[in-house]
Amino acid sequence: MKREIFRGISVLVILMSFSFFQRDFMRKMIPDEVNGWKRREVSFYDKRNIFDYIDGAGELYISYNFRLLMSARYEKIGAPAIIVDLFDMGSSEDAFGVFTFERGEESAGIGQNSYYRGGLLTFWKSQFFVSIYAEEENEETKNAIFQIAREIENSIKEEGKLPGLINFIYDFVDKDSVKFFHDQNILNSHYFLSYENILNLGKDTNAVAGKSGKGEFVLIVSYPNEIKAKSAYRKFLSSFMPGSTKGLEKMENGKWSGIGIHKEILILVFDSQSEEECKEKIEKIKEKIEKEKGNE
Amino acid sequence: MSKGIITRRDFLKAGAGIFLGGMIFSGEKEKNLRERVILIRDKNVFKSKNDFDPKIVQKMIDEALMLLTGENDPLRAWKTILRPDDTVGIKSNVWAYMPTPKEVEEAIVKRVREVGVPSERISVDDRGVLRNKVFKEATALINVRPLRTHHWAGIGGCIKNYIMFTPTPFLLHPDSCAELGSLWQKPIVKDKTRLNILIAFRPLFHGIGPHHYSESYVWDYKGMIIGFKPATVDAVGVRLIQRKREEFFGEDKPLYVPPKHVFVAGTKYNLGETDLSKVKIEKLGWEEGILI
Repeated sequence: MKREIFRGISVLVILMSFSFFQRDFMRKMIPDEVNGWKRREVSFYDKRNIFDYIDGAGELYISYNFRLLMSARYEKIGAPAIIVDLFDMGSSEDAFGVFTFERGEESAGIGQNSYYRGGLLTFWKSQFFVSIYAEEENEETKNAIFQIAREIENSIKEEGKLPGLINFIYDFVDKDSVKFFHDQNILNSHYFLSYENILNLGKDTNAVAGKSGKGEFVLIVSYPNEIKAKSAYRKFLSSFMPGSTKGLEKMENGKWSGIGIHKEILILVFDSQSEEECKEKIEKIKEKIEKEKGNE
Repeated sequence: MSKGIITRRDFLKAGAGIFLGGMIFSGEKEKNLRERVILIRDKNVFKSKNDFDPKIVQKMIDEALMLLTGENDPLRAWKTILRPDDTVGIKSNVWAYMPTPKEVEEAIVKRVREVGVPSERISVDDRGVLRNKVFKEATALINVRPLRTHHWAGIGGCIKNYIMFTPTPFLLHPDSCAELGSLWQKPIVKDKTRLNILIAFRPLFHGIGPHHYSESYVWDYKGMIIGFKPATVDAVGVRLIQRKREEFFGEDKPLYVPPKHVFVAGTKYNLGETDLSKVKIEKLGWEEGILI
């Protein structure tokens, strides 16, 4: 009993120490002042209280396993405020993933990838996802946003690795369209599939998706084991293609969709122009997976 | 596609006029119109960027309600939905980037008072409704908020506006907030809502970033959508946002998250018709750029 209490206290102390050092580290990542904008209050949020700060939007970051969010407000007299949100996502894969939720086609040249639109710059580097937003967009705020971004970028010394699944999809879709995620809601936000979770997506699954130049939507999902992949395969077939034995079917819009399985990985292709194209794409992705896995 | 499971294929099957964001709209041809919604616009409603002309705001609400109730006098119209012995909670919205305009709140309060409800039995609130004495004792609610896209619910509309009537809003987040309509069964709310006003003065049609807001994605629509059924009012709001997205992006660009909760509120919780082919949308005022 005493040993368990001691162990519990030790875990608590370690967690508190991590939190303290992590907050201190993140505080030092952002500048005190940029072009006359001075940093005001800084606040921290974790999974328990993120909804106090960004309401339902917190679900997005929780679905990507975020650990800690630091928010800082920069103010300058007579100018719009700038808000910096720095997310420690816990892993570079999830930092990349949350970035891909709203990614654009052209990189803004910050971090490992970035996107600027409408007074908002988002970028990712290592396990960090960063959002810098001006309450009103003009040249002055844009310059300040990029300067803050560069300072944060420079404070993150190492780059992070991309999710391994990316290698399986890059040859078959436009690279800029690639998304990484775990959750059913995120899939539906990119490509509405069903109100039900017909692929059994969740915390224990990794998924990449993207669009090809021909308008096909390609989805690759990795499950913890083959049993779970087979179960999801069967569920998809019975929900989306009942009666299909080949896992290939012409849809109501005249296009073809199909599903394939390779060990613990499902491969799905939607909106192909023909049965042959759909089948061929699934087979080629399977070959790619086999080849890549063989190299591991 | 299979029994009880709605998939992409059901929407493809429905053919033209559907919206893959999650709502089924089977066209606008009038047939067996079950419900009515008023869409009113006035091109002079803005005094400046964030200030509205109170007289025009008042006129817009009054005219819409007169048309909705069939009365030809504002006070008589308000008296069809409220009584002097009512206790009235006006459920507003304080979201920092796009709160319910004070001019709208004041216009409603003015008419509620004129109906004969004393000031101490009228309250305007958002996040404090569960602690608010008037809301706790309310016999009537007026639901009023601006229209916007929402990060996790597809849109922020009249159904979503009641989320503060639960102490645990996060429990309603799963499945893109599909079960928001269940809130309307809670005793503090059930059967009390007399009017739903979805403000579309400057709607947000595309949200970005953690704060889901950018000045680049709002437009001056200068309208209000008013009706008795919240899901119907929201369905018109969804249609409006979708049309604006098509116009702005030049393609059918579905919302990041399907506004499933509106559809579910209509079908499962009987909060109004969401098939707009069965809804009569009556339009008043400025017509340029109406989109619907």
